[in-house]
Amino acid sequence: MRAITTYITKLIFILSVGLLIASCTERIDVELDDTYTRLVVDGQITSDDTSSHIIMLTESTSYFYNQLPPPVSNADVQLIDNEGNIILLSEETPGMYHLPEGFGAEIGKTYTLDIELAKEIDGKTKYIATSTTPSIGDTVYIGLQYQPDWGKNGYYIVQCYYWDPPGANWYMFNIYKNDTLLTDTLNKKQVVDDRFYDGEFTNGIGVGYLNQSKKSEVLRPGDVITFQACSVTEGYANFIWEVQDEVSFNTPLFSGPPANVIGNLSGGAIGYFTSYPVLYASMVFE
Amino acid sequence: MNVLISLLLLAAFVMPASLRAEEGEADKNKNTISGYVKNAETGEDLIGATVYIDEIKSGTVTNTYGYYSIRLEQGNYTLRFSYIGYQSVVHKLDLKEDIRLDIELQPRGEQLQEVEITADAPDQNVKEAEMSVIKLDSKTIKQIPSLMGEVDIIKALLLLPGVQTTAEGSSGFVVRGGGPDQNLVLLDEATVYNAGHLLGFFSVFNNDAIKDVKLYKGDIPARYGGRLSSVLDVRMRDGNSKRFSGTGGIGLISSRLTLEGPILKDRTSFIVSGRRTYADIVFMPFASDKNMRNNKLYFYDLNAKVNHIINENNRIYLSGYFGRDVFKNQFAEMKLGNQTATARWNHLFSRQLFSNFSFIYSKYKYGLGSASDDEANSFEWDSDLEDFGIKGDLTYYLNKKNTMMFGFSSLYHTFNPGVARGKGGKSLFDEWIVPKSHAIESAIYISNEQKIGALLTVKYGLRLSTFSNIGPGTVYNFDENFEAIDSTVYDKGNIYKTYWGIEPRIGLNYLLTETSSVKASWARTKQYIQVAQNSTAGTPLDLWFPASPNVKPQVSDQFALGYFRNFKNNLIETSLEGYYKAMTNSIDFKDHAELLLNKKLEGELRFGKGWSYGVEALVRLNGLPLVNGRISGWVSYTWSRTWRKFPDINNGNKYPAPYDRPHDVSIVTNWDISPRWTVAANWVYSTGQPVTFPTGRAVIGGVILPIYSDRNAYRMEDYHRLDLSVSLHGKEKPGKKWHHSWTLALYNAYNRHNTWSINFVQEQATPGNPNSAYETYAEKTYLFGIIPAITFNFKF
Repeated sequence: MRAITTYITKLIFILSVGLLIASCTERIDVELDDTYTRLVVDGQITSDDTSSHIIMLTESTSYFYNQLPPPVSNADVQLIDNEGNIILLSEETPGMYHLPEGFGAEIGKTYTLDIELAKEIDGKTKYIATSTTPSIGDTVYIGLQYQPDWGKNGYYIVQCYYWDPPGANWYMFNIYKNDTLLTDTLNKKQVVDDRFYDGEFTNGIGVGYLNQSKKSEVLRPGDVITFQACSVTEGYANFIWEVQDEVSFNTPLFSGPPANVIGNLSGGAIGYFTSYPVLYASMVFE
Repeated sequence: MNVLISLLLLAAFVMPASLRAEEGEADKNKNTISGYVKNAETGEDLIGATVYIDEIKSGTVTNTYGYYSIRLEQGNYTLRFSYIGYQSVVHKLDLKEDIRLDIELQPRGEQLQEVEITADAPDQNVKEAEMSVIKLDSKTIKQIPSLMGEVDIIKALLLLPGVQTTAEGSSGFVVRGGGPDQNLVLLDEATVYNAGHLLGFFSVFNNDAIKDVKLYKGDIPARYGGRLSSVLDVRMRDGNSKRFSGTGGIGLISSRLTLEGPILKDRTSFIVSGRRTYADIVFMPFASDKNMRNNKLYFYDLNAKVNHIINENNRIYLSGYFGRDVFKNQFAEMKLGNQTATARWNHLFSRQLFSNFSFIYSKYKYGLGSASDDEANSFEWDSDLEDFGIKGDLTYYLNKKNTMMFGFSSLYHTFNPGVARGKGGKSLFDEWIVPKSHAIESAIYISNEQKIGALLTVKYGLRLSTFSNIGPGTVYNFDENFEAIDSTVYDKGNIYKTYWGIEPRIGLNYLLTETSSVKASWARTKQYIQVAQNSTAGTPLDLWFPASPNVKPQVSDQFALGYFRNFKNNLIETSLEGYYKAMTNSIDFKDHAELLLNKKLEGELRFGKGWSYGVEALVRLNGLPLVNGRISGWVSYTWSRTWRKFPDINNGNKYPAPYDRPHDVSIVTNWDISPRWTVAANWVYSTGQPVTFPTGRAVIGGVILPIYSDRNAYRMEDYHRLDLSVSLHGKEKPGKKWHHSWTLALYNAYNRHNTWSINFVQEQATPGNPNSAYETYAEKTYLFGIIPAITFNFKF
């Protein structure tokens, strides 16, 4: 449902932009107060044991800090599964804590991320979050459809063919072109629920949109297009939707009041720890 | 509850008797003067015209159908009929038997401007018991400089004290700190659920088809109910019953045409009025982006009305409104529209007992969908709200001291929150239906306006309202964390929840002198249906939802006190009003609420309270002589605050409502320099809107996530704007039927970039500078720079 309403809101927004064609923007100076510092945790673990898994710890800053966020170093970070196995993460660059190579999250397992800071932030040193890896179907297939009416030079719609397992599921999609992640920030990720095709075959539903007027997304013969389908928890899907709400353009017409995005970490830290399985499908553009 | 209904009914019959008893035997020697007051040029009834009787230094006013009635001892009387903008008529009579006296007043037309007008302007604002009321006629509205030359009733109301806009350009309005859905908007008695066109930039009311506009900001009469904050009562014109005529205009973005005339002279008349915007046809073909050239963006609307005088005691009216908006671009399309229809029957049971019975239909619907229907994602979504209703309003002109009103109303609501489904053969979407729900909203009321001595007038009334949810319906049950635990399904016809409440309305007016008075009022109002909307300006996607087992009706108590004083034979009216309004069971929404297509919408609601208070000062000029012409307009200043407190929002701390704007100034002037030239100007100022700003940031997944301040802890910069217009009227000759004028308007004349929204934007990453992706800046969006417009208006 969230997906459809997000989609609807986007449609209305697109329509209204047409209306507000006369509107203009200009940069302004605003003076903002500073709130207290919080721990920020950014990290997911996936079933893909060929990629590296990193948990990044940083500090929140004043809003106009305008630089890389200050890393949180020298923390003890470990991952504990529901069988009691403990994996230590190693800090390879400041604030970046890596899981050992070859690690992959297992479906149905519950993982706990346990962080012990060397120095307290917001009066606390211990932060914890847990996540259970949801299940996913067997295979996905990819398709491409050209939509010439959209935009200046048309769009390619990346299509997904997949048997959705019965029951409520939430999916996140990433798009790669020649191994470069196009959906490289949270606001670019496509997150949907299966409300409209629960337990059915998703006969070519659009999961990514490649704007042929945008240099990085233009397809040429020989390009390899890949999508990654991730079966995420409801909590993580909501988290991404809320982040997308807060960082997208807000207008008095359509936006609700700004609100903080609450993650799943204890102790008031910001961010989300989650684990999910992934499937890939690729094709060569001809 | 039945006991209460009986009591009210009893009161309706007993009160007149007891009030009459007060005058005792004297009634035998009394007779009634009654009739209609009409516009001499068009034959249309005049609403709120004053009938003043010199001998008793008192009088009455015509009701919404132009009818008046007054019962007096036999004798000789001098009656003065007056109406603003019209020449007064003085009529002397010897009252020996009941007299029917229909009066026609001549408008002060352009050709009459050289005539010295000495008649007094009406002094209703001082003498009448009602307070917190704004009256505007279509002529005043027409003279206010407007955006793109589109004359707009709601934009005119926004210039009056106590009425604020929700956002620049919006048709949403806020009255004394109440939400935009707390205004009952009536067009010929039918509810208009969404009064905006084109996302609210224009209102649904076509000024050419409108006769009279009255906004009750408080002190709401007992005959109205169902909304907490205000009633906007808009009356359509009846059509010229004397001769066929037309009015029209050609503007930059729209044209309009009104035709009216008698079907049977002086008995049956009609009016048809239409409007169509054509910005898409005029501008889109020239768009630089080829895809934009096929965009559709327009609205049209149609008002139509027929009325027929059957005989002296019976008259019927049929009126309707139909409006539709269409937007379409390459991705999506949206259609929305209002429809209303009213059939009314005016019946005089006697010269003292006037009645009107109305049958009402009203519908607001919208649909949204993808533009194409050959994709997996193609879908469409429809939602609507439909009302059928019946109303009866009776006025009993008991004697010169008492005027009673009583009546009933009943509305059957059908809420269809939405059906979304796939579109076209390839769509994957199953149907997603948020079930309809049904309810009956009814009320009975009785009120009396009583003159006590020469100086005091008291108005008191009771309204008993009820609201019942009727099956079929599905109600979710929620735990204390607002999570749905289970649901209950009710069968067709099953009344599964009923609320009721008593709404007292009391007001008094004490005349201090002939030209000044103090007034006080208390009104309790209840609201049973509301909009799920958490944006400040409001989208057209209004989702009305009813009170239910999970949602209690909202209640408001408003107290107001005012001082009214007129100068220069009422050519200058001044008033100072203070109010305090307390609201309970107020509704707001949880953070990141899901309002559309949500079967468990009620789980997204949070309940709390609100309160607002303020002082409103107004100086209004009614055609004060200036040089060779006359100046009209007003200056208003409002100081007000409006607060909300919800246990589950903003950590339970109070916060300013999104439309809390402490200082608000409007200056509206219209100066007829000469018979041919008119200049008009208005200037508005208000404190900036409260907003929530980030006070920190967290970097997650490559985005800069704001960490916010308390809700509405900051403000946008102050808003101010000047609009100007100048009109040139064609040369007038006696007997000439064709009149035309040109109006040149400048909206936002000094080109102020008033903030519409503020966004915090992440800088584009530049290669080689790792920090560049982490830079953010604040950016304001403003909608309008200076906007000139030219309009050609004609009348024949």
